[in-house]
Amino acid sequence: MAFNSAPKQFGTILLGVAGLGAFVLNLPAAAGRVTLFIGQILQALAPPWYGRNFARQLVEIGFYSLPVVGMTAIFTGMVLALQSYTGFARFSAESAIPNVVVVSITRELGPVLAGLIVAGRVGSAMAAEIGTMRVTEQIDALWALSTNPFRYLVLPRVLAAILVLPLLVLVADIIGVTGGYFIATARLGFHPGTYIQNTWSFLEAQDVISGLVKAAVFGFIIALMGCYHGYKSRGGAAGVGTAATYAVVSASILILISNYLVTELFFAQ
Amino acid sequence: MTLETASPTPNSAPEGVANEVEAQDLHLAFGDKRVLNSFSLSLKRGESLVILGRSGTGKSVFLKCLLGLLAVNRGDIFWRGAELGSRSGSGKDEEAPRKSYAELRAQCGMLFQSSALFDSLPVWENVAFGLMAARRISRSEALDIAIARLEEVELPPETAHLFPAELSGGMRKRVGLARAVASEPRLLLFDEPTSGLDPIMTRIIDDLILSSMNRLGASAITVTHDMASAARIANRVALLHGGQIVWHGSSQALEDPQDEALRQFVRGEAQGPLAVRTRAGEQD
Repeated sequence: MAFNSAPKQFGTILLGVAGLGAFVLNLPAAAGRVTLFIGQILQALAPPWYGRNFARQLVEIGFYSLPVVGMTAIFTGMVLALQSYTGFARFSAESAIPNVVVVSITRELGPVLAGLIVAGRVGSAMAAEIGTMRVTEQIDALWALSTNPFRYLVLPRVLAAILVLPLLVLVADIIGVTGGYFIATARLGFHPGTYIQNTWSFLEAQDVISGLVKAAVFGFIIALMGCYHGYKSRGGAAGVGTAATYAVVSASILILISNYLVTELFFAQ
Repeated sequence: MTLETASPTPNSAPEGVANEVEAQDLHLAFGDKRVLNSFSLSLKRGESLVILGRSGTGKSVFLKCLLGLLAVNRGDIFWRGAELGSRSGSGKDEEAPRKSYAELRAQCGMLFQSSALFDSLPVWENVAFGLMAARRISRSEALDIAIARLEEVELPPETAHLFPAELSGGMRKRVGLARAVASEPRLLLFDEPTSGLDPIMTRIIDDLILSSMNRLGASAITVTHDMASAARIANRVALLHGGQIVWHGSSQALEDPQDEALRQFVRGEAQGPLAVRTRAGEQD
């Protein structure tokens, strides 16, 4: 029995190795395609500019993401205060809660959670919209009507995302810290004035700035992945669905990787 | 009582006029599949050429190559005597006149098979899109022009503020046609303009195509499977098979085709020179 199953197991292992090999070989090719795509976006920086599209994307990405980002931020701040209290109480460090909440929110949780939430909401929508335009020949129609789709569709989305994500994160920071403040004062017995004073005195400009830089990077990644996968989609409705999935997954992974790299840039000793 | 309306007829291209478009020895493959294989074709100025051919033979692909939306692997496309595309690496005559695809697109209007209207824009912005992009005219001026173009394709002004999702198939085609002719192009490309339409709407679209061509004095290439449409709108017909033009001639040949391949296509016969192998050893 074991003798018979050995070639089968060997075949399965070979298949796994082949799959890994294909993935590794595809990675540089994919990176090259994305780099060329970025090159076309940079070429599209020349006029004419489509201010109306840019304004529409500011509203779409920024304003309509506010509720979901705000909800995420406030509950994250509340949970953070609660969890920190139960943990810090073990070694009588409850007074550090305002500091932990503000640093965690501004440096990490605000930008990363906002980035992931916007990647899910906006990145998939961009991929689906541009992908639908691709499979219904609307992208071809843009070229035929002497309009560069990178200038008309992609650039406004990328610029709007780069600009709006930091603003969203700023709002998320304020809401998140407020959530922590609310739990600390209403449930954990902190004095409101002392909590605010501790928060304010501990907070450094670099904490906020690093978060905003991260947010701009995440905004670029979200729009880039959404537009790239939408633009390259093929094969009708199924292709558009796949593009939306790839846009969210690839943006989420790149957000987590770039989060580490920007953190290294700001805080490495 | 019978209702007789005078239908427009295609202008005949005079003898000896220059070519509007000429494709020479085009080759294009998607992976292993050869789509265009030594494809050559010319269109005289003012001529209406219809390309016939079975599904999947590369008719729409040729239109996209002509507009520069797809790059051919080999071959040359000339527009008004000038070669289209970039010179880099061509190794050809450096002095030969050249034009960019952008120049061609600025003087070309295309009606896509799916109409390809922009879902997020109202009808009037769809129609005036090319005008606003190319001439940077104001939105109010663009709206006026769009309404005039919509009236030309027999759509009421109220249509201007609807969105494409609110239109029927025939209305979408007419809006697509209004968009294609809005900037008064000299070259018109129609990709299956009457697919999916009833015979009456097909006739209306054919008449609109002819009247637009005659009004603009434009040349046109139409891709279609519809024999009645082809007979109505064409001066000349070309039959595409196996990636190349296997027959071309006057549209009158459609009435009594002498060529074996054309006869098979016109009569819709399963057996003949146009049969293709769909699987190994199997003919469809």
